[in-house]
Amino acid sequence: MSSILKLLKLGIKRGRVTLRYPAEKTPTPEGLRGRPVLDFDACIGCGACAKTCPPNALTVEEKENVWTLRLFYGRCIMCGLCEEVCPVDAYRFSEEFELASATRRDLEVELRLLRVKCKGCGKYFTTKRALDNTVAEYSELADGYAEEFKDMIYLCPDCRRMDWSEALADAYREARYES
Amino acid sequence: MRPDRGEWKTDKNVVEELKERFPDSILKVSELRDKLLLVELKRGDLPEVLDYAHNSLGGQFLTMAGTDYVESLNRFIVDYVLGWYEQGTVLVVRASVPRGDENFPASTPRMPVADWYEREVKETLGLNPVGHPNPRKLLTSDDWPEDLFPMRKSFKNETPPPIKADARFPFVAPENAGSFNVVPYGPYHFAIHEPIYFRFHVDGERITGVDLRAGFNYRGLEKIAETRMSYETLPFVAERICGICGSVHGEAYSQALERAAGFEAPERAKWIRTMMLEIERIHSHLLWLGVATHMVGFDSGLMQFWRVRERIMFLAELLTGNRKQYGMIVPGGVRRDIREDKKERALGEVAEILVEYQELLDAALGLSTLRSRLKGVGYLSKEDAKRYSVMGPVARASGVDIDARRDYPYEAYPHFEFETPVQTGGDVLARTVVRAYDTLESIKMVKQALETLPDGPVHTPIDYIPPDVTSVGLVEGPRGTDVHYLITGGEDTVYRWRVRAPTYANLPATPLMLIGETLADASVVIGSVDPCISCTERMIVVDNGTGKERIISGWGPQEGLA
Repeated sequence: MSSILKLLKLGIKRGRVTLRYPAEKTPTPEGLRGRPVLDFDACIGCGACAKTCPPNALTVEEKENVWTLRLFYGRCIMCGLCEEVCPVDAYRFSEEFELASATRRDLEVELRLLRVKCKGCGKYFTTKRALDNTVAEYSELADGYAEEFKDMIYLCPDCRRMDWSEALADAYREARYES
Repeated sequence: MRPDRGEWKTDKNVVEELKERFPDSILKVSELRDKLLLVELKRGDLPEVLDYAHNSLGGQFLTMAGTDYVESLNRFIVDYVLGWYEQGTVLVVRASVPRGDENFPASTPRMPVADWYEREVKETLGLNPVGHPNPRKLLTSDDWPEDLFPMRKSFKNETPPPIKADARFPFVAPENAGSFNVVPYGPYHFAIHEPIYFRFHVDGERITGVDLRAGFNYRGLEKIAETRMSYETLPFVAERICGICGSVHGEAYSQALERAAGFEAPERAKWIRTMMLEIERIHSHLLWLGVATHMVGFDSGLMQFWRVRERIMFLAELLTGNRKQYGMIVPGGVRRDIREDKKERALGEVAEILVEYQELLDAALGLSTLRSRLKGVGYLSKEDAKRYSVMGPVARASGVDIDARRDYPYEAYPHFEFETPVQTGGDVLARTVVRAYDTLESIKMVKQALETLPDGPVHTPIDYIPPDVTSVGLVEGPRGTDVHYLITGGEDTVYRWRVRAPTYANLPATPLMLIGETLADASVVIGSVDPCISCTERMIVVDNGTGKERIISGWGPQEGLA
């Protein structure tokens, strides 16, 4: 059979395969990496996602008592690193992949969380949710050692470092004095 | 079994031979990693040694990179990377260029393949290749200042590019310019996948000369990688170098990094990586077959090849969660495992794809009209293919039997059975046939990978990546061998990352294929390398009497184009 006839036969055999898109939806398999959806209630505001995001689709702004996370889908490459690093599983992939929009604002998501002050120096240093999360996780440790350092949770990293080194210095001095 | 390729020297150690011949030029020889050697040379002896290694010893030119070490060592280095595929050896030839005397002798006059690479080093790093026959710009825009070098460490990547409206690229005229017309091709052509600008000098219908301008898509990814990406996030940038062979770049980067760290990915990860690379090859070749048949006016070919391709795209989506940019291959392994139920489904898909592809291949490649349209067009001889170190299907269609999967074994390929189709025609038909049978092999390999998938973890973290290690990753992509050259840095980021995509090697050879062809064949010839271009959209007539250029265009007169 000549090739052109074979091709004709093939065309008839396989028929029409195109879909009547957009009236008919493209089938998507389970596990599709579509638009990542952020669970606003679960997010604790640690900022790990923004640190790891390769295209900077996720950005964090810290201003006085407000911590703002911005997610711009226009930049998102659906790599899923945010989902991987999130300590509280606040990200979930959706099945949505058609993100075309007439305005840029449709592609922007913003989450604002309250920040708390350091008990030492009085500067804002973390979000309230992150602090609560740390307190909750810390109390689960529930041994004497954990109890002893519990106050340090409420200090900013700078104060914590100072506090810690002072405690060390004290311990050292004491040890020397005793000997 | 490795086929016998008698004409290549395989008996002797390359480094020993170089040492014997150039005892005074070689300063130091060291083994970086298994089958990865470093030879340090005196700067002045570069062309001579490279000429011998490339042209007499048959070393395949893989890549070249310059690196800025001014801050720490007060000098630059230039590295030429050559590969001997019959031994699987990769040789890095290094020379130092001191600060203040930023010159090195160009190797291009003896080795035309180095042309683009040396031009790139000149404009991005400011190292002057003395004696280069064609030291024009390659990557940066026409108005980019001559004394601003983006790949130097002192250049900050947020520096805004200056704008100079009257800058012009110095195009060259053919040597024996009698009466000729110039036909511009691109740069933003409705059917070009990548922006590139060809200028054809035509005498009537025949192409007598070709000049090309690349670099419209220079995004400075390597700079971004050095300045603000970490080892973990870089594969996602690497994947986005190319919309077609993303996994290839991800794999080449991961391979180079893992080689530097002396790390081996887990078995299961190797199998999955291999499978992803093969899935990518299938979809890329089917895309190309569709576009190529479309370019010669055989549109049922386009429809049928893309119908089969759609199934592969769905398979990829099923396994990775995305049709393209799989995000699978990262240093340390892969990110997603393949569950049993998905594996079963994928096996079913692959079996059907194989049947559909075979019946299509049988019908399409047998078409006498298609064969006669492609036969004898865009000829590239075996000698030229070797001289220009072209890669992948282009080389294999000219009778050069190279395949990185077999020659520089990586991942699970040593455990797989596959053939590398080689043709001797050297024309577009040969390139089509090579790709068509390559696809068939790849489908079989995906099947093999799924059937023999070993158990175990898919990812183990890399404990330690030593700083200042030079490494090379070689991956056989759909378009040819992709080479990533990498120097590790101290703070969780690369010090230097040089990507040599296969088209970078293949495109400089297109003028050889084009000269003597008719204008009507230009599309399919350029397309046969794999950046695809359709028909001519506008034309410039150079009036030899006045020297003025007039543009005939559907878009109205466009001044300043030429």
